[in-house]
Amino acid sequence: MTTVEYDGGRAPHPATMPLPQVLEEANALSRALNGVIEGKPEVVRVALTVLLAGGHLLLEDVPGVGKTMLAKTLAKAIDGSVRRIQFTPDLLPSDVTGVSIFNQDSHTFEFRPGAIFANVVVGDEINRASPKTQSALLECMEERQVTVDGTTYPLAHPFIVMATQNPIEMEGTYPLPEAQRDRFMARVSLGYPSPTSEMAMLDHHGSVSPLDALRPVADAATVSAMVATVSQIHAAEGIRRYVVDLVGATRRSPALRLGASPRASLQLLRAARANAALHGRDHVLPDDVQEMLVPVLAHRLILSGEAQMARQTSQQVLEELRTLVPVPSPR
Amino acid sequence: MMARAQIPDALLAAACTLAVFAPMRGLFRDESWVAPALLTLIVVLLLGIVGRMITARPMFVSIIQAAGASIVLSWLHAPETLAAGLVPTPTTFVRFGELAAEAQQVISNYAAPAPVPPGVAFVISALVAFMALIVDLVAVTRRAPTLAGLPLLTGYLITAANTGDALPWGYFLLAAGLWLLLVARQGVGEMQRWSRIMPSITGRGGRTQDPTRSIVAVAQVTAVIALVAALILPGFLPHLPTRYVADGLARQAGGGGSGDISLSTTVDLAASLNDPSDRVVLRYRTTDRAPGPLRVDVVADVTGRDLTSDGVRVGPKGLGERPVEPPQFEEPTVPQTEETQRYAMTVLGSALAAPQVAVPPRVVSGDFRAVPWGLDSTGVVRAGRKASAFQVSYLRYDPTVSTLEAADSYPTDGPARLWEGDRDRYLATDERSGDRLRAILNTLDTGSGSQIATAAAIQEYFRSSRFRYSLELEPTQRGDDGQPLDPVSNFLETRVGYCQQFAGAMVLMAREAGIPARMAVGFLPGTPQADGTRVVVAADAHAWPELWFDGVGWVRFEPTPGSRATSSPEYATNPDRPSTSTGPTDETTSAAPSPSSSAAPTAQRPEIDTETDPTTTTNQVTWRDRLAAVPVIVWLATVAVLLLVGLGSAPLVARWITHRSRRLARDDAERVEVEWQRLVADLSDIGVTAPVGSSPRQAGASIAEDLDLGQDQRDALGRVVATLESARYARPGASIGSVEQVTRDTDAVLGAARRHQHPRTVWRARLFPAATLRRWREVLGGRGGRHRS
Repeated sequence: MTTVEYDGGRAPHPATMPLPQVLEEANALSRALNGVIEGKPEVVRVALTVLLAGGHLLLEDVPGVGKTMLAKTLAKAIDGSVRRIQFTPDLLPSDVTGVSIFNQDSHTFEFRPGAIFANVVVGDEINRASPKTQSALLECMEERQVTVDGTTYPLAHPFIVMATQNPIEMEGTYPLPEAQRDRFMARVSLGYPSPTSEMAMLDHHGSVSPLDALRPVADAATVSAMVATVSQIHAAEGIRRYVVDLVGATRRSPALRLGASPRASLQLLRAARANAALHGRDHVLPDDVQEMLVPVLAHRLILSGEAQMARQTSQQVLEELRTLVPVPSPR
Repeated sequence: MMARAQIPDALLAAACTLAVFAPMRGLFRDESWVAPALLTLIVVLLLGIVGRMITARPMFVSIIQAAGASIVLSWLHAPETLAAGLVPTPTTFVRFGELAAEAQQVISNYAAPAPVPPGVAFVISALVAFMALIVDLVAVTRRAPTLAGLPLLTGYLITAANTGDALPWGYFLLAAGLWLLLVARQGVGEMQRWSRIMPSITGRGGRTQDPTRSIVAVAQVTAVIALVAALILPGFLPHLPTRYVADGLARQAGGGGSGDISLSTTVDLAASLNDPSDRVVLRYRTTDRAPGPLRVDVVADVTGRDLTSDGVRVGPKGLGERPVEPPQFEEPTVPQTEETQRYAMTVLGSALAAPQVAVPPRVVSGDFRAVPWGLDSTGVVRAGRKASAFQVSYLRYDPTVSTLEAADSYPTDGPARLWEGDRDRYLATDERSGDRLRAILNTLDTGSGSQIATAAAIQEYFRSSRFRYSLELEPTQRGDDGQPLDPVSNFLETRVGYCQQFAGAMVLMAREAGIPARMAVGFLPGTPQADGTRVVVAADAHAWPELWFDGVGWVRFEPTPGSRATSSPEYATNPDRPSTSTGPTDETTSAAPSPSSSAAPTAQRPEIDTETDPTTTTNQVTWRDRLAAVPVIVWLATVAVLLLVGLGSAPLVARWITHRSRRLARDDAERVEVEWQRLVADLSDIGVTAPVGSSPRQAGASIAEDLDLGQDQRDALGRVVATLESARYARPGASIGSVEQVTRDTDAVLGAARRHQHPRTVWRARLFPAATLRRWREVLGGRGGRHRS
């Protein structure tokens, strides 16, 4: 068994860059995205935060509000390899990860990389695929590698999966397993645009798609450097404790059947770091944690029966917990 | 609508009222008042239910009840004044006033059990109606059954304070039980409503549970602890002199909060005798080493349980600055012989209310320090105002037996003879007990038949083992005619009583024997203290007979046996009967004990009790006596000083806490933290707090919003928050700004906050900085503690 070297532009130890430069690049990306996705700066901001934090993004909403557009815009704004997977009920795991094919000439198995081998992977309508295929994403997303026939292939760097899905009540969908959901750093809903934004959208999209006009504003190496820089943002002990307190509170809350995992703690802190960087700070504030609390944790929680009966949402439960958990102070 | 009527609660409240008034039956001779009172109660109850159905306004419900109760009261108690036999007229209310006046007359003249004329029945009905209305309003309409406990307790205490005896415990149990049921019923109802509106938030480990369960558990534990504590604690708590906590429950007239005591001559003495509070009535010093009892008043009519003062009451206006001209004897003809000793008594403190003064008989001169005083027609000393400190000199006259025997042959025109009008009064007998008394008198061995011999025999009879001293009287016996016996006959039958019964019976028996007699009321000489003073407490109240001997005057006897009495006087235990050890030959030599001879009291005072014997009581001065002896002003001063110290210490401690926190801070970051904590604590004390889960930035925004800060203060607060954020969250070693600036900014914000809040709030916060004090433990515990911003 041989290991086929696959270099998807992966830099093992990406260089860092000064914080102002990160901010500058991020602002450029932000402008590019906001130019296409009208009137949704907060969603764009979460998407950028997830990108800088090195996580994956789950876009959940009803059809037609621009989920795929956001994913494609972000992909196009980064000058890197982009693959789009349209998840369908008959999609096979090998379509995602790749497959070893017997080469008649060399009498060996050759690995044909699947759609996952790219810097930006847009997984469209991820909950339309069977759970089997969804599970194929598990290893890729968390460990950033693919193992086929006992051979492990590392994935590209940066690597971000941006999946879109319809709410699970929609027809012909398979709900995403908890383990899969846990691997997405954040979930955002775009929601319907405001009437003004929608009017503007009709104007712009009538003649030419703004996506076509979009030029990449950052290359893969820059994004890697940004991610590396963000991971260096300082999180004081109080902040870490605050994260642990908040995540612990979700586990104790009687309104929740399933609280947030330790992975969620990690991702919440990473997201808070990215958020701090987007504010141009080299240290995390409790406000950063609070800002990322709902996007990062909401999709991981399962409400208890009573809370569902009371028509509570996990967002509401989290907001309530945020007002109950005090911000730790030293001494 | 039915639910608003709250019928079960209303019934329970009415039952509570009923239970509270049930023991009142013991206060009156018959039960003619019960039916009207019950009817009024039912009317108030029903009108309450109907009223709540009609209107939700508590005031209207009460008005309906009050109006209904008034009408029913007029039907029951003043039917002759009604227009058309139904509608009250102004005359009705005049009649109500008359009834109330009548009731007041009865209540002030009779001790329990009192007769029930229409006025008393009316007042009880009105009282029951009023109480039922109040309890119904508080417990049912206003839904505060706990609060209803207060009026109910008041009602219960009216009875408890006036019976003189302890009420049977069953009465209290019934009333308290019903009240608790009322409280519990509504409490459970409240609880059930909570469980409906409270989201389940108190789970552990993801489990959800009934949110009320933990509350119920806490309530149950609290209830059990409270009950156990209520039962056990009184056993351990020292019984402090009650005058400093609450001056008893007005067990005697003129009591209450003033600390004054007046020995009631209209109410049964048992109340004073039973007084367990050890309240000090009198503290005095006397040159007499074996003083006799101190007289407060004299009573001629001793036939009932009621004692009525015999003296012509001299009000403050009747007494000028009239000194007693010495030697003005109570019986001015008493010869000043060697039997008469002159003593001085210095009263250091007296709690007796005017006009009562407790002094020995035969006061000859006095210094009452600007308080007008004098003798009334019976020779009793009266003061125009409360005399709390004074001096008197008095004669102690212990006549010899021979002197007393001379009374039999005293000339009818002699100067020291009882005035005829008085003589009739002091010889008045009671026909109800006359036969019994005469029968007993006939069986007594009166020796020579002289007055003194008869008196001594009578005293001997009562002091014999036939009679038993007890504050608890036996139930009233019924005579041959089936009617309850009069008190004196009852005493002669049951042979159980206290000084009042003994004295009363002896007075009447002496009158039967033709000796003028009256009852004196006052106090035992009290307990000698280590410092040479004597302390008289309320429980030292005493009554004794005084018999008139022509040529001598009023002579004290002591028929009461046992501990709550003085010794029998020498002349009375030394009668001229052959059976006594003291023969006639000794009579002339057995002069009254002189001051020097009374120093060895055991020889001459064989029957003296342990409580009054100076030789045995000296070492019984306990800390409680000493506590009780401390003047009230000292206690008040101590409390005031403690209060001042307590008030002053809180801000000082708070200041110290901040100071110590600053000193403990290791670096600028911690110093900034201390300033922030100071800001948060001080703001919290004046009522400005940020929401629990807020970050410093959000807390700053919330404070600025709450206080409506000006731009300068907003900037200052912003700088404080920014510095705090750097101190807390920035990379170690990063510059965080100037601590001095933070201190200045904090002061600026606090100053603005104090100007914004009400001065009262600010002063309260200054005097008691609670939030800062809460950090006490953290600061004492040093570092490492966690606390919340």
